Amino acid sequence: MSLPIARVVKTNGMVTLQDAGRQHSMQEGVTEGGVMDVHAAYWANKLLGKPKHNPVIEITLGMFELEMLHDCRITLTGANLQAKRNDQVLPLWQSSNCFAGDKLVFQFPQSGLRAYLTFDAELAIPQYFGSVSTVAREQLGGLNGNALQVDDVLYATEVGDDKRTVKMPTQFIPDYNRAETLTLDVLPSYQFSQFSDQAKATFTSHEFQINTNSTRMAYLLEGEPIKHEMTELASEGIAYGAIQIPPDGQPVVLLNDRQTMGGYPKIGCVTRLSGARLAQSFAPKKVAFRFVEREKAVAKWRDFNVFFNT
Amino acid sequence: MFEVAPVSEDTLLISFARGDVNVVPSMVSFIENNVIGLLDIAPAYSTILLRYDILSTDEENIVDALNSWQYDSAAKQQSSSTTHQIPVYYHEEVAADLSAFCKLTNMTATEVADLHSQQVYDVYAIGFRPGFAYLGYVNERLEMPRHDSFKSTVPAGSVAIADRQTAIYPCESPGGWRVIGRTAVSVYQHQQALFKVGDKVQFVPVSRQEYLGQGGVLS
Repeated sequence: MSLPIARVVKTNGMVTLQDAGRQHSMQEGVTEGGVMDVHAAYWANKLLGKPKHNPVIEITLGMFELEMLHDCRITLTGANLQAKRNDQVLPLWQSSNCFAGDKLVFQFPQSGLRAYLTFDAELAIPQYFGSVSTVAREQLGGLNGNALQVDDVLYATEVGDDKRTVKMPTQFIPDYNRAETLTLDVLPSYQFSQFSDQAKATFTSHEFQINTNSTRMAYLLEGEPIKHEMTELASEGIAYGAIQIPPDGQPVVLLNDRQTMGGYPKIGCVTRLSGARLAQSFAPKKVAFRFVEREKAVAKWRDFNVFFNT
Repeated sequence: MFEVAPVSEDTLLISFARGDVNVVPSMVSFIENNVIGLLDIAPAYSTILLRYDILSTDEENIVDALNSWQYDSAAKQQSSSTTHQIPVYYHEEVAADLSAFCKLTNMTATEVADLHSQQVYDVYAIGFRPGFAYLGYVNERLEMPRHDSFKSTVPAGSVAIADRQTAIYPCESPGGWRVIGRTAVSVYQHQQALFKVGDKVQFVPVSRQEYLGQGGVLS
């Protein structure tokens, strides 16, 4: 059975279907993909009792409208996109009951950058390497290998009938606007030891500004150049959060849609949870880096996954 | 023989002292059969990136498993490898970096083409993006560092060099390698890559007319 759930009325080309991302795909050169902000997206699913890998709509920068074609409970988390259901405020960080004919409208972010919309339904979306995650530059995932387009319709095989309103405990609600400068936790790795003390000091003692060309693939940062003389480097696999320092000294943080391999020197990796916060920021926001202990970062990431695994 | 270093919360990098071309594939098949909680691996020339499920295993378990790998240098790769002949038009009208490349290496375009096409390359890895094959190694006179920063568009079919590596861009994409030629052959179509690890690749210089006849484009 195939039930039409919602139709795209308006979009900005940056609204995509995502989930927890791909596995066992790097050997084919296929990127991990997946939701940019795991915290907000996993909460969207958790509130509906869904696993973290359940498909969600990642709404980047607003300018997106959806028409409901079926009664369905939804949740909305992440950025404040001044969301409305018809003319009513559509509340964040909780579930809402929507009805066939409802118009959901998302506008420019007041805080954060990406909102996550989940349906209490089993969406029917083709999977590639076990994931629906859209990577438009590779024509992979989503409905047709593309970001959502006007008149795209999401279908489901099953729609939930639970109408209860579920809210996220308020202590978990992040304030994306809180700090003027976002501090990112970094694990020193890759070519870290080959950077000079001076380069490391430049890296941790200066602020960098997010460049407007930042995407799901990479956040480009601008600031005091981090100098090094490394040139000969064989390409190697790139982990989530890897911070490349090309010869021009401007850091590039590689995120979900990163290339699988690269050969520029890397000073370390932004932690998964810091990367999620970075993904809620955009130009001209400033960021700073601090090195953290691996043990603590591992424990934090494990606890996070345990929490969302239940 | 190899070292293991953590790179992020759930990812390790295995690095080998440069050995023969079969070392990495041997370890890859060992990992696929023996590592519990494996989420992904990215083999390269002399490294393997390994991501694991933090809820079912940890670094110590993985390192223990890796330590029981034994490399038998006598055991050749069992798969019969294919040799691909790839026609390349080496000319500045399709290769934005060729003129500068010639200046930096003090060679003519013909010398660059001859040197680049005189040897048979091994496919060491597939990565960066689907269908992108890392070939090695180029003659040392052709070794050239990457551009200082990414170029926003490198055309599909571009044949390029970065340090000792050479490759063909499967489709138009950003890139930082030095482009010295272009092929009309499509190395990635319908989600199928032309090359696989262990294959061999040889470039064959062709004229403008041949390149165009093969469906090559100039823009």
